[in-house]
Amino acid sequence: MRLFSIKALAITTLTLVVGLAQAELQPEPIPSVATLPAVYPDTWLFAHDVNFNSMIAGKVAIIDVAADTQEFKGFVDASMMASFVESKEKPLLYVAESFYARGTSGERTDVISIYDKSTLRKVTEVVLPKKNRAQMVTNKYMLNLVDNDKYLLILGFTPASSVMIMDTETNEIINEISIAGCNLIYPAGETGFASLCGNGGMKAVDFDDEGKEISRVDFEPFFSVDDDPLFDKPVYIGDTAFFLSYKSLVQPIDMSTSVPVIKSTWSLVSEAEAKANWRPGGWQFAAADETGHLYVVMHKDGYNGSHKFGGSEIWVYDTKTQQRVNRIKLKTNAFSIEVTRSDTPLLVVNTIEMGLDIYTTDGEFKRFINVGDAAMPIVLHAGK
Amino acid sequence: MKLLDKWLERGSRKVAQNTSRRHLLTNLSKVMIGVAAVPLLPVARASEATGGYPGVGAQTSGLDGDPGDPTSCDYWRYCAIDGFLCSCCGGTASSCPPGTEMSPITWIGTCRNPADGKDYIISYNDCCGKTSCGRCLCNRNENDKPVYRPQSNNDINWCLGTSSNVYTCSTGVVLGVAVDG
Repeated sequence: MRLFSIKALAITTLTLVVGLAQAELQPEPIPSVATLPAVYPDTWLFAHDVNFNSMIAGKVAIIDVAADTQEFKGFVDASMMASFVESKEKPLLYVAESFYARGTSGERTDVISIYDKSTLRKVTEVVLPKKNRAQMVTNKYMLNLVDNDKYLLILGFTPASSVMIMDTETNEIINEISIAGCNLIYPAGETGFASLCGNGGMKAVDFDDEGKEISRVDFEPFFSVDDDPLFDKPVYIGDTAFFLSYKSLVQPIDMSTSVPVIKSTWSLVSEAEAKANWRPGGWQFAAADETGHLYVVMHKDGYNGSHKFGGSEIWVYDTKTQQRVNRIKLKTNAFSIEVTRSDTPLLVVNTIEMGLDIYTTDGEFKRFINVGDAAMPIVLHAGK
Repeated sequence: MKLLDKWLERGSRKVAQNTSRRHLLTNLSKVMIGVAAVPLLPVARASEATGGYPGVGAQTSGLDGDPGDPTSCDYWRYCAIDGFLCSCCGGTASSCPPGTEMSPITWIGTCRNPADGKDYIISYNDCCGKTSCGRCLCNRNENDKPVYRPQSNNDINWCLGTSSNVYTCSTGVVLGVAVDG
């Protein structure tokens, strides 16, 4: 009895002391699922993890590259060499992907999966009946929204190449246009698009409200695919697409109308730098900021076959003066890069180690962000 | 760093490249290894020294005039390969692992055989229908062109014309001596 009293006293005293120090944790509601704002802050970007080790389980992660806490916001699935685009006009995300009835085998179904930005739940999916969605290492020019997001353009490849047009109001595929001999989708004009071609030329197509082709222009070859091909991943600054060549040429193309205008070329490198074989390379190896600066991942001692290995520096150009304005030496070599559209833009580098190094656009290192322990986030989309 | 290590371990370190799509990764490794611009990781160096991937037994094709190790990214046929080497996955440099299906449609490259100094046409047929093999990731891009010239590009999933388009691994099949080589 006495013993009990002493024990009770001790517990009471302890409870009082703890009670003074902090309140008890309250019961937490179950279930509980996080949501996101319908309009994302401008420091968020989309990091597409292609997951080569299990491509039917790729994903697109949403990352706040300015954050030092809770930087990983969520993700959507992206199966089997998927492609991705964010809508600017609607709170939606689009993923073009493929599924098989038995995981890696069985009947194939190609779909456009449409997600709500706030819940990251699938709103609907649109089946592509011909199952001909292009499957290739993803880039920004396989799935594009045009005409204020009214139409979604979807690349087909069987290997016959085509562009499918989806009306985003009705979510119906309204047409498919052949781009035989050419590939990828570079938006041009209000509704049109251009594609580079295997002969070093270009094709430009425009279509009407019903998706019917109303014009087609085939450009004569203007670069040598054999000697110095243009990379297939240009950077848009305003309405101008800046294509870069394996050997450092810059080929601007004015895409403001459905019949693009090929502009004069200039070079990323001086004679001495060319002699040292400084060249661009990586995967998404170039990006731009809102001021018209072009950022290019460069490597020295380039050779036949070095064009996808990334580089140790990022060279920054003023595209108006065509002069280099900065040279950023990286902590770790870059494979892909992007620049956010935020007031204070950030330079995001997916390194060859497959994680994100975040820099200021002047090259000051800010932080490292892990997209996933085994992620391969090789395509980065700045928030629109 | 760890990640890279993992990648390299999987196979890329020595080189190579080619096949089709995931090659990028491989590139990475190649960078590390071959291009001097990037510091080599210890594992990469080891691989470079041995010419193979850690934990992957060396092989030969058994053919006269076909030098090198088909489980190594620097094997001569792999000059433009991009993917997991089928030689490491139950197949060989010219055959697919059991239970997979070889793509009838593919792209071709030209690689020089160091044994006779001749350029050979190499067909980089993908093997399809099972998940990624995950061994010996290799990416080399000699003469690789952008996707607007698909027959010379290794970023495309060449599992086309197969019952499943899911990529498993890559081969490098000799088609013959290049006429203009």
